[in-house]
Amino acid sequence: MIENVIVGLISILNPASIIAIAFGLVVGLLFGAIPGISGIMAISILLPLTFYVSPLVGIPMLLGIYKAGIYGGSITAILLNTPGAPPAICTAMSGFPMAKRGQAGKALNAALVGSVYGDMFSNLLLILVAAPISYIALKIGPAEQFCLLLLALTVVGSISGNSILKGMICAGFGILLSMVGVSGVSGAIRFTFGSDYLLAGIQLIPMVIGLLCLPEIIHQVGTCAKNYIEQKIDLKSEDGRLTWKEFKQNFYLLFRSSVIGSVIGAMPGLGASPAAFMAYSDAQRHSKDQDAFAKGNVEGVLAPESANNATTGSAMIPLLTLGIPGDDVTAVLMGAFLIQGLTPGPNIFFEHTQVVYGIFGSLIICDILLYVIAKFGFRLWIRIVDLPRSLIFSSVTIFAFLGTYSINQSLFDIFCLICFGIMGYLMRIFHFSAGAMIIGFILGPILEKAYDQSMSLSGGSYMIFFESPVAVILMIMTAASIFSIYRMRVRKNKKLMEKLGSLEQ
Amino acid sequence: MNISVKHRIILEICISCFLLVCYFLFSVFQADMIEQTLAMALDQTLFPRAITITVIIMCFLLFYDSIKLYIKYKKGIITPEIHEYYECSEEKIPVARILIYIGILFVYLIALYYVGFMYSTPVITLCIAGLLGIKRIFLAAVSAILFTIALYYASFYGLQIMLPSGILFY
Repeated sequence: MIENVIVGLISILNPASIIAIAFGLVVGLLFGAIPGISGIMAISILLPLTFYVSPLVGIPMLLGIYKAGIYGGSITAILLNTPGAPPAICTAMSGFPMAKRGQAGKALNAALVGSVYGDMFSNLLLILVAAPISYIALKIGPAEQFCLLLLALTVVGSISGNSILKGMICAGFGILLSMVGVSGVSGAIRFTFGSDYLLAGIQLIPMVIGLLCLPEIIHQVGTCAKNYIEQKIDLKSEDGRLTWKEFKQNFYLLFRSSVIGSVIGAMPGLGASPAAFMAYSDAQRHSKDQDAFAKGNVEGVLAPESANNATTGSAMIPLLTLGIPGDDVTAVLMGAFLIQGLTPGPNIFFEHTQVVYGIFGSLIICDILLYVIAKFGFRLWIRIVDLPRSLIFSSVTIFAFLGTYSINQSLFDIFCLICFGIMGYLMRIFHFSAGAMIIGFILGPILEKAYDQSMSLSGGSYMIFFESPVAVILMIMTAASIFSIYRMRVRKNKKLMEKLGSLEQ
Repeated sequence: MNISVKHRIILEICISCFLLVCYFLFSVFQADMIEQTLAMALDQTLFPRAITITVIIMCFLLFYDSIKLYIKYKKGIITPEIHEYYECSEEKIPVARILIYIGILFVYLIALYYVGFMYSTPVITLCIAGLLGIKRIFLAAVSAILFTIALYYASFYGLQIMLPSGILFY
């Protein structure tokens, strides 16, 4: 394995890949730093670009956006008390009071150190555990794969907001949309309504950009308020940087928060925000001065930042080893793999060993470059936060159109983009989950293929799903996952009802 | 425009009902929408039908849930969902601005077809910036033109993508 890692690292050390990673990091930082637009929007807009480059250029670029986007959210959280991304909410709680005290530089540096530490930790974890898991996962056949995908679909329950039913409807709709066009298994023409445009099926890119990017711009059209950075930012004095002593003092805290982030990140459906909250409350519980968190202190920035960035590496574990996207970002990343002809899952480690280890190598390079680029660009990010929204959102709209058009050079794709944009906005208003729909759309064809293969092997008998012990275990795990999601919701609702009751009194 | 809690719940009922009817009709005519080209041992309509039926059940449960929610709302019981709707009802939806923005998107699509990327993009960029409340129009116009030219050449020389040149200028 060590040999593979070294080969992977060497394969990524070429100018094209390094420039792509640096470009991804800069874009991620910009999108993460501007409130209202997020890393996932940048990933969806730049997803078409990966079509034109090799996997070791395109995928590391998207990973760079993913990682930098999460860190970028902390810049506005600290400077404006407006988290650029939801995982940075806790960072704002401790970072903004620090900035108000004139310690904005220290808070920004602490957020960067925490992010890079968490990132590096989870990347090493990914490199160490992914290959052994894939060896075990390789033993599964189509029936087990079908059961595994059913288990993967239960993630919809966790990401669908307050209503699981709405999430399931969205996932079902996504699966049905993935069936439009000529079937990859049987060659049957399905749900085209006689249109030649639909013969090739609905494309992933207009759907992803339409559902994730346009609704956010439509939302911003109504709220074009502007924030201004009021405090002065000093990056040179001791208040403007994180000292070595502070780093050493908080080394164990960083380790603990990174473990929390990595564990939560590896669980499908949870994501970076709960990891940040858990690490923040853990740091507060273990702190000698708990009141200092609300007034702003370094620990309150380091803990959530290392935890939310630690989710990025570990979220790739279920994606790469089992082909399970844990959330909407990893679902889009899975799309990037599929565009390149790589199907995430245990086979990827054996069929495309060099690419996978190249990607692992790129994760390490990402961390090093993230530190360098973010550190030397502080002043630039601070200026960008101040840019007029009108310029940003008009450019993002054009990028969305361009990205969609670039795949097939078809105006029909742009028409689909607008339709998905409107649909995404309506879904947002009525709390339907766009992420669930994308997951359904991506997993749908793989699920159908596994089902068809299982049925062909068994001669149409459903007993194939109960004959293999692995399939049975996966079925039990699916049932357990559904039950635990249901229980979690009941508990959450109960707590909320109690809170509402006490508010009424 | 604000959507009151009562209207939101009624809309939920309407949406679930609409989805239920749509999926039901889809399931009825589903077999006609699948053209089998190869003789397969397996029924190719089975998987889509299974998914559709699952979604229909979910839609029915959603419909039932929203009716139950309406009854609870009428009785004055606050559930977590109703509480969430109360929070959402404070959110203003600027319908006119949103419709204008969507209109601009469709105009851009048509303009791309007729006049192409180079002529339509600066105008559309300015329109969106105007909708979002840009102050310095001249500066915005210059940046829009430069932005369009940069994108055009980056796409053409960098990615070998021919952006639409429009049938009127072809």
